[in-house]
Amino acid sequence: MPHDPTDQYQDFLFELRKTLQKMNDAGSDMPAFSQLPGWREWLKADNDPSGDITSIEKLETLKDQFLDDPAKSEAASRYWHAFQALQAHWIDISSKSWDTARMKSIETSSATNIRQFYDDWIEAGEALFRERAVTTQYARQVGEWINAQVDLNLAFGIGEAPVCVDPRDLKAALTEAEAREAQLRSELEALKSRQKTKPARATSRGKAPSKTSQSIRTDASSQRETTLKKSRPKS
Amino acid sequence: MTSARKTAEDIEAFTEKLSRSLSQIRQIGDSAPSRSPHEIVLTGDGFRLLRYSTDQPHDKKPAVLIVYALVNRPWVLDLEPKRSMIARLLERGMDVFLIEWLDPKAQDRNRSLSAYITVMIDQCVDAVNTARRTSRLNLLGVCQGGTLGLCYAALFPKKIKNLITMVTPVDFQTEDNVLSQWVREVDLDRLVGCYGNVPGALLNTLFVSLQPFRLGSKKYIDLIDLADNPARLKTFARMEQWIADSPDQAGTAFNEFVGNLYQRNALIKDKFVVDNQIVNLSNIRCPVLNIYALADHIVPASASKALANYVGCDDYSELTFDGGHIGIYVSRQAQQRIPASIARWILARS
Repeated sequence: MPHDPTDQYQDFLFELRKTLQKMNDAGSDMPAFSQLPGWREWLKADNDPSGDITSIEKLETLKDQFLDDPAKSEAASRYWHAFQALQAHWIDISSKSWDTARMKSIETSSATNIRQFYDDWIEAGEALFRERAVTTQYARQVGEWINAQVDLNLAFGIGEAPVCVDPRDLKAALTEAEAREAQLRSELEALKSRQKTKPARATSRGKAPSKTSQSIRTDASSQRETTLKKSRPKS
Repeated sequence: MTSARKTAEDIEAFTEKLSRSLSQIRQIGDSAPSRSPHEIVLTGDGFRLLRYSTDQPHDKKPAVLIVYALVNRPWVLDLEPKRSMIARLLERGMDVFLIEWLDPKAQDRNRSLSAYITVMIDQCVDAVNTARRTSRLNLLGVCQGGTLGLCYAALFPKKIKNLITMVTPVDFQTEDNVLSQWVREVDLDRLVGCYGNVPGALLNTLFVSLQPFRLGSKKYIDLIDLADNPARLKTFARMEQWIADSPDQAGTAFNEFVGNLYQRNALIKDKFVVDNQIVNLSNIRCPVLNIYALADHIVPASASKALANYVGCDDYSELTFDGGHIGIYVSRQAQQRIPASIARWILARS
């Protein structure tokens, strides 16, 4: 039976990514709650898709820790659900990109060395991610993840939630502003009419500035630049 | 098919080379950028204005004021002597100034975009003009700094002679703008309420997660190509330090930028208000050079190209770069082409 190197490559790259994850985590200065869906999470998801970070049991445990405080419990639950939704995408993309790289290797015998296999996998992963990242669903889930993090911070007393203004107060402020504007307008009208009743004084003014036309020079050197395109903006 | 033994040898060689690179990069030590000589000509609340030195007198040279983004450090434009857009502009006879934004303190959380645009940039423009006894200058806005520069040029058109924008978002909601789609439903009031100043590390992780395979894994594996090459390993370490060193963002300015631009696309709808004035891009009548990268994953080319539809000038040019958002600052190809093209374009209009 012919030898297929991709199993060995895959095993090795999993181990390598674990090492990179450790390096990255050691270098991280991010506060625990402010991490956005980034590459550290990708590595974690990829290395340990069945790990407890994604498990429902873990979520329930987390919720249980704050049973006496519904706001904290709800925020913690929302955060982990948002995280889990994104992580499902990452696991899916990672899995499909491995398959794509493997298929390419088998069909074209392209992966004659580990570097080529690795580059094929990265290329497949980025292509799949680009498709996924622009979908409305993924974008909404990133937004939800950020909002959930903020809520988690606020629930734990980090930062201040913006004060919700009562619409009745807003309406009162608007009415007051309109009244003030009306008063100012009437005062302005009164001032204008007083000005009109005063006798006009002769004034001497300097010569009015003439309107200058700006000459537009063409740039011969720029036209030689192959990628320097000159175009007029649409009116 | 290769044999199992050959595969094992391949993996072993790969591991050995990668280990060597990782070991060498640990020994590099200081990876701070080696910045070109400069002096501080003005320090204000939230910024410093730098002027880069040359051996020749400045007076006859065209002045270029660089407005960089708030979300990263500007020294990617001056990473090391061979990778320095600033050094290349100096070599091409430009008198280069740079606004260096200072990190907002906790009490700066209410600092608005108006403060950045109509106070800080304006103070710097006036300072450059005073230093050079001129009334107008060339403004080079980079990334988010380009958007700030566009707003400034629209509000103060008489102070700008020529405007250059580089990888600058204008239409924030083109179909391929992933970042824009991701932040569309973020509750910014709560986010800013929670953090005050938005942590730079949070934004940095978001940027990296735009290309999770490439930025989270591949670039480290690619280190094997740099084994036994200390100069390139040092460049790699400097880039890593730059990427990780993102400043916090003043809460209000962040809320205004993301809310009005990424979420509501107000700039191209003539609904973006700065200092109680609507920013109308058609007020920009000076010559404009719009530079963008064709493979930019942070500011897609489509977001930058849109500028042609909104500025009011007759002299509008584009320069495309076949690379990405970071490559346009530091790659060898960019170093050769971009500063030279900028200088040539400015000199033709000076």
